[in-house]
Amino acid sequence: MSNKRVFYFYNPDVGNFHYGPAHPMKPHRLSVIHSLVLNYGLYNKMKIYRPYRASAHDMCRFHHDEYIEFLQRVTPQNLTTYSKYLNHFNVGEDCPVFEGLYDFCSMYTGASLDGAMKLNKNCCDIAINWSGGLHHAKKFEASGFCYVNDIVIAILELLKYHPRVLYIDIDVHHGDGVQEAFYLTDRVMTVSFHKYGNWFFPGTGDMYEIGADVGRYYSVNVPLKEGIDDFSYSQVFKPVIQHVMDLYQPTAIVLQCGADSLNGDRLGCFNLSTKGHGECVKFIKDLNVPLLTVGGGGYTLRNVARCWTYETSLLIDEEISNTIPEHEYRDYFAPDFLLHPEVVTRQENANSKQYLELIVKHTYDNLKMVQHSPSVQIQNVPGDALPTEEFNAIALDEVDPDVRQSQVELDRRVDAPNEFYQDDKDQDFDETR
Amino acid sequence: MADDEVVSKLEESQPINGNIDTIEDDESLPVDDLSKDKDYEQVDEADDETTMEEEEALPELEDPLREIRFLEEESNMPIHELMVMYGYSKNTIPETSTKKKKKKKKKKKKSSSKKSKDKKRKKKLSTSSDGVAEKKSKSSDRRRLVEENTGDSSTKMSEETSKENESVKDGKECDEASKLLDLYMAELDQVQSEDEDEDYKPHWELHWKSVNVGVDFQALVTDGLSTYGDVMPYENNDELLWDPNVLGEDLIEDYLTKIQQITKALKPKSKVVGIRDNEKALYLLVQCGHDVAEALRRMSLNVVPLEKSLSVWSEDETLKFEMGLLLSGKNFHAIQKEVKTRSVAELVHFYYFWKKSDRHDQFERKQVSMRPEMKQWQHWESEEDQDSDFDTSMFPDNSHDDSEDSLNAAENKAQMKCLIYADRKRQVRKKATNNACSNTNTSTNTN
Repeated sequence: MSNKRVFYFYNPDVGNFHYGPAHPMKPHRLSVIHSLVLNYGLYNKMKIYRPYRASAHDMCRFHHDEYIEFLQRVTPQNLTTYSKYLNHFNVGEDCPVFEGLYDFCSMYTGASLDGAMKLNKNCCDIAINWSGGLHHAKKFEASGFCYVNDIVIAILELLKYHPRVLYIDIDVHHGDGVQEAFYLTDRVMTVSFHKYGNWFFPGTGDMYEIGADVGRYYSVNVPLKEGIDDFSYSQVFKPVIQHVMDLYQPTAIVLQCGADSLNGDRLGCFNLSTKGHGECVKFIKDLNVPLLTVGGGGYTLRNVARCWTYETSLLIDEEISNTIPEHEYRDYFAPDFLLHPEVVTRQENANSKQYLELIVKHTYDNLKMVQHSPSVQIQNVPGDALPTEEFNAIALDEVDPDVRQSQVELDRRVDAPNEFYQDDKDQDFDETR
Repeated sequence: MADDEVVSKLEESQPINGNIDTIEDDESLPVDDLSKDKDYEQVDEADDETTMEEEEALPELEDPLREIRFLEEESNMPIHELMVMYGYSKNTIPETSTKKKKKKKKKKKKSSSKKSKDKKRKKKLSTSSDGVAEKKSKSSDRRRLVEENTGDSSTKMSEETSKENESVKDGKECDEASKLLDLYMAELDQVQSEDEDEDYKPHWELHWKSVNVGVDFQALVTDGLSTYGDVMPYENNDELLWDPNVLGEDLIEDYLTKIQQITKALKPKSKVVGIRDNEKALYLLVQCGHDVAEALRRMSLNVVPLEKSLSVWSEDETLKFEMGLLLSGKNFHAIQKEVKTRSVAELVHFYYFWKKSDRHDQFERKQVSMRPEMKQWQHWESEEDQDSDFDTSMFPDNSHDDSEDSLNAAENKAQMKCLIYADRKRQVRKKATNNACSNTNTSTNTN
């Protein structure tokens, strides 16, 4: 089972940006992660790509073109001329204008998009882009350190080939941008586990936000309280995801691995260890569905690097030692130089067993409705490349009655190639590979 | 007048208390019984009076026995203790308010919050094909709730907060009060507290509270699937840097050791040996079509360009960089104006190595001696990326802070709008600068 084809997308320049003085988001963490990944020898098991860079056109597949044009033009030098737009697009303290802003967006978005395309082409089973995962960005505005929502753009790409895409978010903050983008559709199910309440950013993610219109019951929110530990988290995470998988049967998964849900994060308030966080990633990996893994939040540099390096190793099924190897950024891991530092619990777990059970039950109840609501794409959707009219013109009586399933009938039966079957059309990867 | 109605209603329903228990026992896990709520849709929503009873009958998330115990305890409590519990001190409380009234007030609050929650749920469950309409009705519903609530809860809350600011002693009492409120709001906290603050800025609340629906918010999802055809639309733009599957692991290992020998021979003084070179070497191998011999040949010919960003910084450049950092902080585009020979990206890259070098320590010492008032700042700045001993207990922990406590509502909302507000270091820094400012102010005053 270990021979999954893993592609790793990393632009060597993506780490060399800076959000400005005292800003907790540090793109340079990406360089640190890459260095660690290489020094652990993880390149032995995966293809490394310098990804495509997203064009403004790609970004406009989700975002409004006015907004993207603004991002393209604004720089710290001409900021004053754009002052009236800053408020409009929510650019300012949270999402500052920094040198190379648009390049940064183009790099991380391109990497996610590239990953989605490789998955579509069935070149790989797992695509990794730690620079992506900026899940707060909205169609018309920046939000929570996010400018362009690479996840939405990647999912839109996946939807070209995949009838149903599942989005899972384990960032400590609610994945509001992605949820909002797909709030009205049943082709994408968004599942977010996050801290909710007491004015925690971004303020959405109540368990009663379940989607609307066709997308009703296709947004799943699991609001948690501060201080949740590994054990409690997996007690919620695993049953909910398993249930989602059984009922929704996605053909592709996008996993946002925000590392601010780790213990000791500068902005987060959960108590997960790197192992507990990784456990979730491993669980998703073992579902054997094409997977795009993206990064996200994570504001204590050392811990983010530890976490995502460890998760890279999990995704390629390679065990790595607990000692941080010699590399350029080794000093950042002082004093212990360990991959799995001890968890220092500073915040009590405010999630009672009872509360968690209630949340899980509530999610189950909502998911039941998914089963009963008619879903268009569980039926087969033909690709647009097929010459449908001509195709249908062949009358059925021309078909040889002696043949059980004639060629015409077989041709007419168009299935999404990544649907799951039990019979000889089984594309599910278990045992066969 | 709406208040009176509710109160009288409650007076009537007080003996029902026992009934509620039995109903609650029947349904142990109540959170969202959909079938039940479906039935609710058929009930005439306009008639609040009749739905009230059903709402009362709706099981609570909380243990009912515990609730009753608390109510009993309260009824036996002396009036002044009760007052303290609810954050009232003797001077602010109206003379007329009695124990009984108080109790009612609380009950009413509870029921109204319950109502609001139920409303919300109902709203969500009711046909919502038209998102905009849903939002509108929600907002009007809310406004009504505000009118109901402003009478008691919000004024009460503001009383509490204002008093807390008055004296430390009172603040302590408020803590107790908030604990009690917590018991009742544990499961409803968000809904409840937001409703209470509603009179501040209802527009804002609408903005972040509900999920936006409309063409300006959702992504355009096309129906059905499509195919790329023969050519991948973006194929030529990405570049394969490394493929581990062509050669065996041993061959690669062997190749890398040879490469290292060559580089050592070529640049004996170079300190940067290791993985960056390896990455380059692997890429070179891919470029040579995985021909080890060819790659080694090219390497020894030294045709491989040095990595730009790692080219050695001159003393002059470093000094300029430090000067820029001193003058403009971590505004790298400003520093770039000082160090003209390097791009911003190079500066950022360099910064993270410089930070862990001896030069950084020297720089810090110099800076502190030059601008002593910067000492505290510098401390935070330097700790920023490596806060191994970062002690959260030192800081005001806003995620734990309750609505009634230190933060006022406006600030809370700002926090919800702005992720950076949650940064504890930022808060501390702000406080530090404020203190510094007030210190300098007072010192100038005395002068």
